[in-house]
Amino acid sequence: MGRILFVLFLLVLPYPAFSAAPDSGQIMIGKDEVLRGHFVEERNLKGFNGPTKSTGHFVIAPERGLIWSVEKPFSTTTVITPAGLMTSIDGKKVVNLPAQKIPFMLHLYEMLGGTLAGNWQAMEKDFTVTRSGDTQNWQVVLTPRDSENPAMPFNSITVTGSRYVEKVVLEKPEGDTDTITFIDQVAAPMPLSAAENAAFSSLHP
Amino acid sequence: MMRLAALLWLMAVALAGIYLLERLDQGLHFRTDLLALLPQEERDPVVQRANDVVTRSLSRHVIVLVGDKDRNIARTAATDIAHQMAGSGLVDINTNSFDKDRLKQIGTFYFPYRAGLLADDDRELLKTGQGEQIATRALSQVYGVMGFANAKLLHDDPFLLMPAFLTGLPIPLSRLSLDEGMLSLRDDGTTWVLIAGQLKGEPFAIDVQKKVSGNFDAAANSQRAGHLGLTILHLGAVFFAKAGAEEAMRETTSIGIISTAGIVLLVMAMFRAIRPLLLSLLVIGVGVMMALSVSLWIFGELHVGALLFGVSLIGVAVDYSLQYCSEVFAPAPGPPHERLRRVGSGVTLGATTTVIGYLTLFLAPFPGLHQIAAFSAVGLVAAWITVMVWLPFLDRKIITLHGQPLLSQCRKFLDFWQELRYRKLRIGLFCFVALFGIAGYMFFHTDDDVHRLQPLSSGLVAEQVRIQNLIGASTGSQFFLVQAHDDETALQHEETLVERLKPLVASGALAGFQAPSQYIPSADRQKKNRILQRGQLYKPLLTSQTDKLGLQDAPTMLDEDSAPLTLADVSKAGGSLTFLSSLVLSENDGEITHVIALDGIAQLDEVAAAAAGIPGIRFVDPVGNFSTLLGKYRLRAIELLALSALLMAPLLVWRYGWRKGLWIMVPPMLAVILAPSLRALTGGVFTFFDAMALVLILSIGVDYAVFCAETSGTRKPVTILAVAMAACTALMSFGLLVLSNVEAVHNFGATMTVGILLSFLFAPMACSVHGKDGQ
Repeated sequence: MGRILFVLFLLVLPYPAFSAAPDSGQIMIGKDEVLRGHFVEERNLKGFNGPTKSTGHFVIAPERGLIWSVEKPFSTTTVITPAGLMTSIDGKKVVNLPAQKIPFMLHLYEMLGGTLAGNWQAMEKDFTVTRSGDTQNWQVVLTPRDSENPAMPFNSITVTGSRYVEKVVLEKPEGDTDTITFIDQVAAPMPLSAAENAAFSSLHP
Repeated sequence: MMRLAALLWLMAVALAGIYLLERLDQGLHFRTDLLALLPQEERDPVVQRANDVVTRSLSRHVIVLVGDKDRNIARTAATDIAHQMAGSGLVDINTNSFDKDRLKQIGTFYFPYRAGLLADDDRELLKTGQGEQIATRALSQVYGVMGFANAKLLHDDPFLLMPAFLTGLPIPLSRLSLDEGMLSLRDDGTTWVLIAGQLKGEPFAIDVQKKVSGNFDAAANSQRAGHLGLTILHLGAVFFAKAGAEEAMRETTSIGIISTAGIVLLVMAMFRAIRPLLLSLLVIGVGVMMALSVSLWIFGELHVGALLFGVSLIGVAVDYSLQYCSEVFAPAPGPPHERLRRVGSGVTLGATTTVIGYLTLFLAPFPGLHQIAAFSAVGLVAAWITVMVWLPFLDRKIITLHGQPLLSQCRKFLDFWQELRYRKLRIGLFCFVALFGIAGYMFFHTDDDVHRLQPLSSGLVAEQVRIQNLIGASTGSQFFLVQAHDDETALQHEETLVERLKPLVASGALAGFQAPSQYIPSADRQKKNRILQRGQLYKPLLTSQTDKLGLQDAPTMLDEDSAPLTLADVSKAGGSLTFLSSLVLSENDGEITHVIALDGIAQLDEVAAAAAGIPGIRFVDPVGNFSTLLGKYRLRAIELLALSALLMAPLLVWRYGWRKGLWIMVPPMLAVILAPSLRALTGGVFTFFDAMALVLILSIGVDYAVFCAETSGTRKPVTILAVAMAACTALMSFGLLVLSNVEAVHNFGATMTVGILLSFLFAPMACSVHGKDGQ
């Protein structure tokens, strides 16, 4: 679970800040904005016939949370808000975790909030951060400081992008890799659509 | 002869003194758990054993919650506190073992038996033919955000039933979850980290309490000093017991000091001389010293509650020396031996009846009462011997005149009971008293709540409530007891009960529960699970699942013939399921005993009723049982009271004859009957402890009446004066217990106060007996 949360988290990071470019500090989306886009996730996993591939779309609203909708090969939707995490298949809830059950996710939320506010140290605490490139074409490599931490089972995370995050590559100790490509990303001002609103609200008690 | 007796007594006292010094040198050990004063429930050894195991395990729990807005501060502080507590060697911190190895161990333990294991929800789905949903869920987990894409796991468990089973295992403390190896929860912006431990020593031993509390306070304070926003909550019987013990010690000290000071002042004021005070202190000192020494020798250790009551006995022990010393007020005092001869019979008779009254306490099966009975009886006998054999040698002839005004007051009091002209007033008084007595009994009601026994520190209670709200569990003492001839039967019965408890959890009647069958399903349940898995999942869906998963090695069919999981396998779990040992008690005479632990009972009746009709399962409510028991012993105490009176009567009849002997019983009986009624009028409830007070009132009342009966002629006012002083000292010792914060002790003191006043008021009635004889 930590893995994908991490990806979602990375999506909204103000990456230019990591880059060496002098005009760093710009924030990708504002608090009253929504970032929508599509993704392709390709995983090379030991023991599977070829890479498993899934596609779908996502919605990020900094004030509300995240919606991750897989369309292929199966339609499943995961909604993450400060209230917790919920996964549904065809509108039927199959996983429902209230926030106090998953403190690690809230830890990430805190890091996220801190980073959006310009607190880069939040990342430095848990990762060694290596930055390269410029604002138009940057790359950040994150290496967990504590390789024993079960919540971060990665060797490294490589994030590349320009205006937005374009690609995230996760490498696991067993040699598995996970590549997520983000396409058609559009930032738009609020409000959310009725369906998005309903998805976020479904988690509130 | 008298000198020989005095010398022998000196040797006995010296011997006891040496023994006491030796014990003091070893360090005195006082018990503080007031429940230890209650009887061992001898009726049902199985319930008792289960009760002991559950209570012992509960009473050794130590829970600390460390909270801070900053997760890292909370975690570091919790780690430091846990380290410091574990470092003391007094507490085993078991939250330290909540690492990933432990989770891995649990997973490894269950995995070979997966064919027979199903999460409750999954079993329902399969029963209703919705296997498809489980298959899709597994695929969504592989392809969705959760990312359980482990080829090896999917090969063995293509429908991901094991993760569902493992996450469905009941976890005590339901709101907590594992955050990087620490049990934590988030509440209103604060991260709380749990430290849970088991005490290694006895939570009710004062030295253990001091060390554990001191260690915790030091650890907590050093963390608080470093982080101002930090909140540290703690919970555990050991902390409650320490607060209770401190309270009892403080009360013993303060009540003891006030009581002693009052008695000293009274004696000084009465005799205007130092000698009677020194004599009285000698009598008290020898009484208490002998009582302590002999009690320690008999019982090995004393309960702090017995000590509290024991301190009060000072007041009664002083009565005998007061009787003796007051003889200086007599018209012709005479030499010491002459004075002793005059009061000797009264003191002896009084001491005998009182000892009879105290010794009946031995008949109540309460260990603490045995200590009090021994303590008081030994103290009284020692005080009596001291008066009889030592005082005349230590006294000298004195002439006092200042007593006259007091004696004339006593004469007036006596006149009220003896003069014909006050007859109407006396009748009026009786009517008045009868009216109040009857009115009081209309308000009379009893209360046997065991919580009255323990003074709970309000600060700790508030912390307890906060912790229980945060971690989502209450530390209830109720449980279900499961008995059967073998584990399989017990587990099957539990499964029936679990089905009934689940709706109660859903409706909020119960916060949660842990049954052994949830961890180790019965062989029957496992067999049914295998049939469900094969029939509803593997047979119809395995082929399509294999295709969709795209695994290189296709998942294999379920192994149906492997042996089922049994309780005997738990030892293989490598210590990760050790908490099961508190639910599965060791086998005894071919009888299996399991416990189903319950968290947060909101609807006691509904929960208790859930076991109805299931063989071998019953609801156990130790606190409720204790309360019922207290009620039984309240009745028992009333029986003891009647028995006391019956045992005292022959002695009085032997001395005074039938009619007069029984007449002497009237004043104390009036006090005994009226005291509860007057207490009821002032809103008091009648408890076991009030009943015990009545037993003492009877003894004291008979004392006063006997003193009055043994006197005659011109000595009467002197005796009344001595009785008045005795009543005052008794009020100062017993009556002061009213100040106690322990409700039980307070009740005892209140009833004693009323009873002593009534005993004194009616005591002169006994005078008329001898008075008439003398005429």
